[in-house]
Amino acid sequence: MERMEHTTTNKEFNQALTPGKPGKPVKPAETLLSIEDLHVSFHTYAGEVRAVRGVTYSVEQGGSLAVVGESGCGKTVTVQTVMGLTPIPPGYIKGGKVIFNGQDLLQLSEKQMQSIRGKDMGMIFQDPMTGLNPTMTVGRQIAETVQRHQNVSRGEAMERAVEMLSLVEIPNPRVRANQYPHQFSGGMRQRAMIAMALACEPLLLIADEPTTSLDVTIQSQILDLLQNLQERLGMTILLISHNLGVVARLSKSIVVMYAGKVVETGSSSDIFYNAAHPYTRALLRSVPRMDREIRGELASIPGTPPDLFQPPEGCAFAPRCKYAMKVCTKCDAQPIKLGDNHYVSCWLHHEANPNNPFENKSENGGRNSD
Amino acid sequence: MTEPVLLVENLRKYFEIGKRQILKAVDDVSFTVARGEVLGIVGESGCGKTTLGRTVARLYKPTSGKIVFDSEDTTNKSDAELLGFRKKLQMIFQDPYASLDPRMTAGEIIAEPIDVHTLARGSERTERINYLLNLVGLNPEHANRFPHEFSGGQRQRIGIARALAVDPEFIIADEPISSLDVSIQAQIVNLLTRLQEERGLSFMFIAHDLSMVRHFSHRVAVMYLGKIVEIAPSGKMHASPLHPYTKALMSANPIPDPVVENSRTRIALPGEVPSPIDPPPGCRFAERCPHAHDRCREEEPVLKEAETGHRVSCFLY
Ligand SMILES: Nc1ncnc2c1ncn2[C@@H]1O[C@H](COP(=O)(O)OP(=O)(O)O)[C@@H](O)[C@H]1O
Ligand SMILES: Nc1ncnc2c1ncn2[C@@H]1O[C@H](COP(=O)(O)OP(=O)(O)O)[C@@H](O)[C@H]1O
Ligand code: SF4
Ligand SMILES: [Mg+2]
Ligand SMILES: [Mg+2]
Repeated sequence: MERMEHTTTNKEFNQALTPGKPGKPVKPAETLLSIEDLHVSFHTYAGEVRAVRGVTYSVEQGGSLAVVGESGCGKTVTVQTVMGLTPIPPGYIKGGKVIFNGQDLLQLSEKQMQSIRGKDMGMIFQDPMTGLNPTMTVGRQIAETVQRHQNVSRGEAMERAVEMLSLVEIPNPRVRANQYPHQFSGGMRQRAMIAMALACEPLLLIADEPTTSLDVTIQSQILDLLQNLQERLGMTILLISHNLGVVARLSKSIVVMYAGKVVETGSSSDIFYNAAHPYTRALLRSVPRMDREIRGELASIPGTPPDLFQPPEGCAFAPRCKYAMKVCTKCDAQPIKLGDNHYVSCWLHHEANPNNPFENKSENGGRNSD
Repeated sequence: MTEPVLLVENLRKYFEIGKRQILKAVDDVSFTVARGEVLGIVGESGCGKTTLGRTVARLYKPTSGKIVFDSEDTTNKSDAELLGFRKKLQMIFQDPYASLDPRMTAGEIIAEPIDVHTLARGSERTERINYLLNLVGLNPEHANRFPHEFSGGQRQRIGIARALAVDPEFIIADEPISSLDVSIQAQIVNLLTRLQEERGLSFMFIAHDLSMVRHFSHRVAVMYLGKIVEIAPSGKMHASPLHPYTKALMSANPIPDPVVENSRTRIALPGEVPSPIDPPPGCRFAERCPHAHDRCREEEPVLKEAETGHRVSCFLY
């Protein structure tokens, strides 16, 4: 089949990245962000929603990590807590640590967090309108972010804004900088938000469903952009997505969440070709592939995720799991190490279980086939 | 070949907006659907999929063209004359939250079309409601509950039960799974596949998820800015798409397999879909097309057969 070469231009990147600009001092530690046993709940009229129930994962410096899982499993609340954006109340942080660049963010005051947000950590959301102010020109907004964190003049900040808009490949950046968000299309707004998030060269970019509201060709443009940023700037990206295709394209390591907990973590190939948790395996098999022809039954997961008001005592997936054993409904499985960075929380893999159905799973050449 | 259950010819649906501006949402579209066939309709938002579905379902009055359903010309029929047609053709909508009346119980929602078409009364009516609930994987106890007491997937099941209540021949499903979670999408598509096969239903399956469309559809039509640019059997469309837009669309759709995904060459389309208010002359895709030449900007290509059963609207073929 005839194909065009990739046509995204990268010259803006090189221009925007003036080589003399000193990088920010980064601790030699390899782990940039480490979330440790985080618990976050919300008090509602109906009771306590246990949104995040002991989440642990970390992002390496320069890495690209994706968090996947169905809606409501706590992906957003986790990263909101990292950014210090969880509304308290109704939310409250019951425990855990968020170590970013060597310090525990949960110990910082709101004022200290403000100096980190937008400067060391940038965030882009599913709906770019939530991150953009509709009453201010796009250029001005980016410029204000720059002025808030850097000692530059108004003019310099505006110059920087235009530079950023061109970095994210917005045509006619100088004209666009003087327009309002509503004059931008959905794809352009998402670019503008990326420009704003990157304006102060953050150490970490958190992207929460950045392409979910976009059409597939525009999604592809944005993914190209993120991939370029990653490669050229060595940007560390924490991506949240429910789209396994997007994750396959962008991320090197993956965290799978279910009902407020992490059920499996591993490299992209651990997860896509050697998934060990029944939920991960079922999730992968429930999406049809454009490059495969199979009409007939998709592997669906019966039932729905549990209520986070009263999360089950044992493994939260047990009611939907076809392998569930007695122990699964009684106590929750702890993470079991399967490989270098591959961990699963599932009793099937416990050394005391004699009948692990997924043993020798690498022999089936990858694609999960239980 | 037997007569198609649905024949659409040169269908146009224009909306008048503002001061005598015309938005050409569906512009000269022709296709057929055979009995028992699933025709997938794909394309990016705003290309006219919903308008096409609603016009075929005669929720909208066509601007021009012809719709023949079950040998009956429905193009210009009045609502009163369409009662029989509405029993044979039903719609399932994208948003199970918005499309169900929050003040009605699931049982009442499903009973509504039964009552409109006076298909059953009394205990027979109750039996029918229970049968439909079972059919879509719910149970009779659910009949007395309200929409907000159900999950998204369950609400979509109620929408499907309502559509099936009148025992239709044809279903137009407009993005029926787009608002659902991945694992729930599979449940709903499995349900639709089973119902389609068991009952020999015909479908127009509108979706933007190319993989799901490939999975569920026998044939696929790709729309761009109000037009069908390519139509082909599902396998063929995915294995060897012809139209440059289809190629770009396929290449942009990520495949959940990192090795495959990272070894693909992608066609990056410049810019975005232009406005359907003043569509460019010539081929509507020309300004983004990597293969556009002079003729494309002047003359409008028409949909014609490039291979058996595979039609494309592009001067390259
Ligand atoms: N402000 C809030 N008040 C009450 N509950 C909330 C609030 N924000 C999130 N939740 C609940 O927390 C859970 C996790 O939500 P979220 O992190 O947004 O899920 P995800 O991003 O994985 O879709 C959900 O059950 C959600 O309803
Ligand atoms: N009732 C309406 N009045 C005016 N314009 C409409 C109406 N419905 C749809 N449109 C316009 O028609 C075009 C096609 O819309 P739609 O059929 O909803 O596309 P899709 O379903 O493919 O996203 C869009 O430009 C949309 O804004
Ligand atoms: S722990 Fe038990 S219930 Fe949970 S996924 Fe593993 S086998 Fe299934
Ligand atoms: Mg979320
Ligand atoms: Mg639509």
